[in-house]
Amino acid sequence: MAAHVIFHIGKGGVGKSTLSALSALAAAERGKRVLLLSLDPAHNLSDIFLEEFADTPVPVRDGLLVAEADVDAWIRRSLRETEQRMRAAYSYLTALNLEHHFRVLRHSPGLEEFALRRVFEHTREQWRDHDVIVVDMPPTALAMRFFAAPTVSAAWTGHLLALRREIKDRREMITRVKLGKKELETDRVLRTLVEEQRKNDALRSFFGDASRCSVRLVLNPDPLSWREGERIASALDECGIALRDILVNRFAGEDSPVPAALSALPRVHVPQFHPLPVGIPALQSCLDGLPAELSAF
Amino acid sequence: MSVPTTLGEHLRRLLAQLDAVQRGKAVDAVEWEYDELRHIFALLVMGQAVGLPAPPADISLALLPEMEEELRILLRRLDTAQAPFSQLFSSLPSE
Repeated sequence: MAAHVIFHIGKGGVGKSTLSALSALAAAERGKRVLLLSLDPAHNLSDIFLEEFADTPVPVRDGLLVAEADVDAWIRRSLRETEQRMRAAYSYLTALNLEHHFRVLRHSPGLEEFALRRVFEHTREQWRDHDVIVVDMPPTALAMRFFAAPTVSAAWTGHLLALRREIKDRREMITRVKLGKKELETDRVLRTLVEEQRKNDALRSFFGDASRCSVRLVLNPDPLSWREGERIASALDECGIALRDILVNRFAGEDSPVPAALSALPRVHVPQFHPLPVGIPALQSCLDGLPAELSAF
Repeated sequence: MSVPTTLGEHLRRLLAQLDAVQRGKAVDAVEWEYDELRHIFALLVMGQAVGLPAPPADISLALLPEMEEELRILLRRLDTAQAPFSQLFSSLPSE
């Protein structure tokens, strides 16, 4: 059975990284095999564990691996792969000046969430034998683009597929009239689009499947956090993704009024830690004071 | 190519050529439409280069290596961009 994936999403600075680290550590403490992955380009896990992390997960204790995705490296890798495929597929003349175009592409909007998606899919595949993959997400804007990416891509592939099928019909008509036979050659563009559509559908269905994936909203008990949480829930709902629960971090006994749209979701209250836990011993010492629901997966 | 020797063979060749010409004419408009659709497809996938809304990067990057011919159409269009009407009318039937 593949690893269950748990995303921690929320406004910047609410404590996503700390709660991701604590819940991953608590689950490892209970004997689960856990991978903690940061998809936030401004990583915090190194500061929390007082250890340098990179793309390749490293063990920090029994049953717990930690990695920080190198988003820029994944963007460079994707562009390099495309460039190589273009050089192999294109004839000499068109392949000229590819480097120049790819330098421009590096700054195209949308590459960051594309790279996040690649890291995520690669990690999920490579560590599928683990029990849990805990993901520390970037702040709201980029995180929402990540979750919306397969839905947006599906809309584009749907439109491009319809157009490509029209093109294929015309080509078959021309070949039939001119040569008296049907075109047998396969359309590689059409095949690539069908494959992209399949991948988008698979990821959308994964995000929407509560048995394989959970999204936890992390917030602080203040009105701004709750308002942003409401917008996150609504945006996720548009992508067919439901929140699993709400982690109210730095809870000191008093909460802001809960917006109606979020009132039905289970809430887990996590107390404020003084000082903030940094390093494995400090993190470990916080585990006793944590609500059991934080790592109940 | 062998030289036709009999009248029958001449006639057969003539009919074959007429057939090819008529078939070519019959699909002229469809061919033009086919090129236009591919041009639109290329613009949609690579529109970012000319300021059009572009699909997400994953789709463009997946398709680009398979789109040499479409890229050629785009570049050809750049050459004829100053004379779009002459190109359009040249693809229409003369009568």
